[in-house]
Parts: sequence; C-alpha cells; structure tokens
Amino acid sequence: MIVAYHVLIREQNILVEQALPMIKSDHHGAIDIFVGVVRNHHQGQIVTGITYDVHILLAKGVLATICQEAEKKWQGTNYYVAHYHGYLPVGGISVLIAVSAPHRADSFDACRYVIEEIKKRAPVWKREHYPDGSSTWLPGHSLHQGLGNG
Amino acid sequence: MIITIQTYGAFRKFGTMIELDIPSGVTIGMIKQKLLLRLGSAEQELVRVSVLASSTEILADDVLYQDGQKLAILPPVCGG
Repeated sequence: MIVAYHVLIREQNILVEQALPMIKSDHHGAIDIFVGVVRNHHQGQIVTGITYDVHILLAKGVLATICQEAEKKWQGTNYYVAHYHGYLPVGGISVLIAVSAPHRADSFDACRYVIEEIKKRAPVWKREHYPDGSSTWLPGHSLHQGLGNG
Repeated sequence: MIITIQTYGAFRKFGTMIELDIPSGVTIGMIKQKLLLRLGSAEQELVRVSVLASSTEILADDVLYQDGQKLAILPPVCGG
C-alpha cells in the first residue's frame, strides 16, 4: 500500500490504469472502480459535451474528507479519486473512483458512498453543451449545510 | 474597500471575478446582500441558494469578513 487515499483534479484525460497501482495491496482481494462518463443526452435533449468548473482547492479538501469518512466506515480500504476540470466531449471520463478492500462488499459499498457524497458536496459545476451551440449550467445541491470538510 | 469575489458555475456569466465596494467590519451576510443588489433581482434565487466561501471553508452569514480574505461565490453543486 502506498497511501490510504489519493485525490486529484485533472485537466488531462483520466486514465483507469493510473488508479490501480495507487491502491493495490497484498492484503486486499477486491477493487471496485466507478467511472463517470459524459453521455449524449439529458432530459430529452441531445448533449455534445460538458464543461466542468471546479474550485480546485476546496474540491481537493472535500474529496479527501469524503475518502477519510469512507475509510472510517470501511476500515482498511484504499481510495483513488480523480475528477476532471474543463471541457469533455461525449464519452469523456469525468470522474474515476477506485476503492481497494480486503473483501468485495466493502469495496462496492465504499465506492458507492464516495460518488454519492461527491454529487452532494464537491464544489464542481456542469455546463451542458448542445448541438445548436447553446449551453446551460445544470442545477444542483446547495452548500448551505457546508462542505462537510471540517 | 474594494473586494473581489471569485465566480463559479452559473456566476461565470458575470466574469471570473465580481468587485464590490464594502466598508470595514461587515459580515458575510452583508456582503451577500451587497452582491444581490449588484447583480439585480433576476439573480435573487441564485444568490439565495449560493454560499460565500474562503479558500478553505464555507462562511456563515454571521461571520465577520477579514480584510484581505479571498472570497468565492459557490452556486449549488453537481459534480460527478
């Protein structure tokens, strides 16, 4: 094991193969990977791409906090979380979460926890782009309850 | 004193920064009210559901603004 968690905000392509060496452990028998990808439709509209706006400093802190919370719930688990910053066309990887655990149940549960918390708490915003050249910022979760990072 | 607020998400339409002229000793809530006056009633709901943050944390409305503190306005989030 190298680190218990590793979080990144990337402006280059997110690569699945970069995650595994960061979290693999001889003590672990399971790795669960979630990959978020830009899809070509949303609420009946054709989507050509998404721009991800990110408050980088806050986002790194929130991602780290979420990993720490998950590790407390599923002890001994390792995390690699990368979120994209910038424009991605359809098919681009927006987020990658990889969780290594002694057993598969913990890796599944912890991975699900991390993505659900990211959606509610990470300071990231999506701007959808459409074929006619227009775009719109998507609604989301208000941060009035805080970031939950301390 | 002139302060700058970094914009994100839906606030990007106002540029990367919004400048406000505020007196010393104001709270974050007062800065938010000043921001609302600056942006106009059409943005009332967006400002209401958004929060002001420093470089490390969200700031409650009753917190005093510290001179030189960097601020950002964060609309509702939708990462992933």
